[in-house]
Amino acid sequence: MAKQIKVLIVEDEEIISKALATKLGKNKFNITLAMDGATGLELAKKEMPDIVLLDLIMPKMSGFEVLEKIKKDPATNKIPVVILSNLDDSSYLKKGIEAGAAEYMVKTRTNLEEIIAKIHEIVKV
Amino acid sequence: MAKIFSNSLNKRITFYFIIIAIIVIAAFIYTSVSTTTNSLKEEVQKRVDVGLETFSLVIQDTIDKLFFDSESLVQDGDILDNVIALQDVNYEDLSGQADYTILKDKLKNELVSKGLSILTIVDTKGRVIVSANSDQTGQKLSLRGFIEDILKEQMSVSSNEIITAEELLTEGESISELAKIKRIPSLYQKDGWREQEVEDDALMMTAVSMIKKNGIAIGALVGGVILNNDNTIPDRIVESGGGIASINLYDARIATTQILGNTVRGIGTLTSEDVVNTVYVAQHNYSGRAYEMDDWYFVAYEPLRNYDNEVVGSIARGIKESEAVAGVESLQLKFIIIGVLALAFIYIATQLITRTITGPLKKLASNSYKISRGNLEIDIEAPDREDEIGDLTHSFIIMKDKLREYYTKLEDLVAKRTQELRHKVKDLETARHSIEDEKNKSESILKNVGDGVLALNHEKKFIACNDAASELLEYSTDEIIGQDLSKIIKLKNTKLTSSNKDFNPVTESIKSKTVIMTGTGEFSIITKKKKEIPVTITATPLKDNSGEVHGGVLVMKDVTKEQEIDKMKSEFVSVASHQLRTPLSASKWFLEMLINKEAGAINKEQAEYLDHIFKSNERMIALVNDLLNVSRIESGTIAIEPLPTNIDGLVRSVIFELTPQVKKKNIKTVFQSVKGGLPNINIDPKLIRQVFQNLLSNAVKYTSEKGSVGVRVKTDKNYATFEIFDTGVGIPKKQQPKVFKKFFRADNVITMQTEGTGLGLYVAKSIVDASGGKIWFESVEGKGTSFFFTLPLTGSKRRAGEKTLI
Repeated sequence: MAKQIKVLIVEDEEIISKALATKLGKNKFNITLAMDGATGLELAKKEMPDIVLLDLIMPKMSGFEVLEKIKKDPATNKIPVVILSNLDDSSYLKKGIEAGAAEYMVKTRTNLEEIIAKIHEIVKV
Repeated sequence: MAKIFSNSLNKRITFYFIIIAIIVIAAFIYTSVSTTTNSLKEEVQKRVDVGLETFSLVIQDTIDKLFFDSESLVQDGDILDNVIALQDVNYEDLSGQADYTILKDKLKNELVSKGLSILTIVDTKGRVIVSANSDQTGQKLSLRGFIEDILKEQMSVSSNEIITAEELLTEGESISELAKIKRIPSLYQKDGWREQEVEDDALMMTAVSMIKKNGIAIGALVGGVILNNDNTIPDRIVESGGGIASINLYDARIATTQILGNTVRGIGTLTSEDVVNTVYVAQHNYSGRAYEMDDWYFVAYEPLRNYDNEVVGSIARGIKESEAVAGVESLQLKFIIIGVLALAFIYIATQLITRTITGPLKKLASNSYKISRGNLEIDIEAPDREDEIGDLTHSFIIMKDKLREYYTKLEDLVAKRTQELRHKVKDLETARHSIEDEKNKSESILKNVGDGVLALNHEKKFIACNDAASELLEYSTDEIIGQDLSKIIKLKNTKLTSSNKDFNPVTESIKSKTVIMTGTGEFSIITKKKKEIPVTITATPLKDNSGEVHGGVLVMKDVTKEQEIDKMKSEFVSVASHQLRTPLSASKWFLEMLINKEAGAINKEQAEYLDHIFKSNERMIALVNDLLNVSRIESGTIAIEPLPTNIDGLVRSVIFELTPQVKKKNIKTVFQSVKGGLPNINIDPKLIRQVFQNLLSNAVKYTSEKGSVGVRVKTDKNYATFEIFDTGVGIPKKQQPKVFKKFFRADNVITMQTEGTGLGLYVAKSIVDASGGKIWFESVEGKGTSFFFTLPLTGSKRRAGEKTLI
């Protein structure tokens, strides 16, 4: 049996977090949740997940800051980060990719199925 | 008055006439007198020359007669016999012999009757046998060897010969004295030249005839006429010919009719140097003027030659010049009198002529003067003459009448114009007041306007600024006026995406002659105190009528507050949209799981409803996206970043993206570009893509099955025009004016089961407008719609902004 993929979801909106967790749970992912940026960063270091799904607008620490720190820390900089946000301006997209995000996905334009597919695609690589 | 009616014309005409007359008359007198004088002189000279010829003939006749007489005597039997008888006798014993006495008497008689000076018989050796004048015998009579030569040749001859005073002593002392003539130089000749010398030669016409016995010469008879002091020949010549006649020995007169002083004949006076040079040196005849003795003469000389052809003297004729031309002087006088009379006549004639001209002219002048003083009412007599003066007077009368007419009209006109001018002045005054008011108003507006306003001249130096500008820049008005643009306006380009950091809107505006407006966040101004203040700048070139830029106006607005508000607004939109999207995305995902039956089985009806909810949720998401775009467009924060773009490729890719919908409805798609394809155009590809997406997706959406949609491209000089056409439902005529309004949806499509936010066309229009193009459409309800939009071939202008469209 294949090893469970460890996903850290950093998302302050409970409803979003819940939708993602439900879908990913049903798809046999090992899920850790963080409700703010600071916790997200902490958990990323502690749990060393296979992938991070990162929201951008969050209390305590913004997604960009979290991304930056993960990518700066040699211990965590190998962890792929997928930005999952509703900020859809191309300037954010550019900024995110430049900061080292593996993918930038806009929530309203993305199906849950697509997210699953993307995680498999990235973690396999 | 004297100044105006002067006599100068009269005087001048008279003066010129007289001058001309004097010149003509003087020339005439001079020519006449000189011609007359010359011809008279020629005639006199000719008379002298002819007189000399006569003189010459007389001399020759005299010599010929002497020779004839001498030859006759030799033929006389008595003389021959007595000479024979005296042959070989002792000369000392001759006197007292009968033959000698007879011979002497005979010779004496002959001497007197023939008027000779000497008559002597010599033997073959030249010794005197008998002489009419003297008793001396046996002396030699040589005549400077002449007689000896003749005796040798044994032939009779006659000629003019020189005989010395010494030799003449054989003929007696009184005869010898004839040879002595005192030389008197003329007044004209140099002082001391052979002065007072005595000539001791005599010029003698001489005839020598051989006395022959049986053909052999036994002696010779010598006869001579001494010309010295013998005035008979000259007197005879003058008696018939007039003038002066002289016989000269060498250059001295020895016989002459010329009276020196009043009484004495000019014996001994010398001929002039010219004559000497011609007659004695060059040995020619002389003819012409010469200064003789005491005056000028017309003279003619002929040289006299001796037997040896030597010039020994001359004969001369002459007429005193003063006498010859005496008539000319009286002629001159006559001419001068005639001249003076002619002048007087001309003067009077001129006076009469000028008076006939100047008289009426004076009258005209007097009238002109009156008119010039403003008196146009004078009466001028009609001219009574039909010449130029008459015409002039006539014209003058016409002129005066016309002048009076014009003057009257002019007065009316002046009065009218004055009135008009008064009105104009009043109008101008009013206009000036209103301009001043306007100016004051403008100035107070400018002063009170919140934005900084500065004006530049063509040298980019400031010529005006308002208080707001001064306050903003922290420079005083005095510091700004006259200063260079670059010294005062220091801009910092704060545009995030700017590609040209040196872009200066003010210089660019003047250069491109267009108005340039910068957006919020593009520029900050650095003040005097080095503060950075965000501004928007509107630079407007000042053009004259010909379109030439001669300065510019610069309006600066402190947008610190606007920027803050913008930031807040954009944050709000961002937050609001984010807040909206969170429930929308949650709904989307939970619906997805429901529809995918992940939460359990659902029946058909439930599935249908869930589908409706899902679609509505999707429409809500689209609506939020469009609203966000509209907000960005309206806030001006949208960036336009032109890139050279292959629009043909872009259109093809948009059409390709629509393939699912197109296939579903079995719609035919068409794309027609220009021949050879559209060249790359500098536009923002994301924005223009949005336009094509919106228009094409509308076209597909509102076209029923088996219809067609497409894009056609055309270009002209400046623009590329894109037509997005469909064979769809069309837009009702009534609603066509509202097509580009926000949230517009046509009545006939609302009822259709199609999605639509009513923002697509609004967004498309906003993008096209911002890209420098135009958008419009043509539509027939039920048949189809064509949307057209243009893009400048030169490309879109860059615009800085923080946002891009979704």
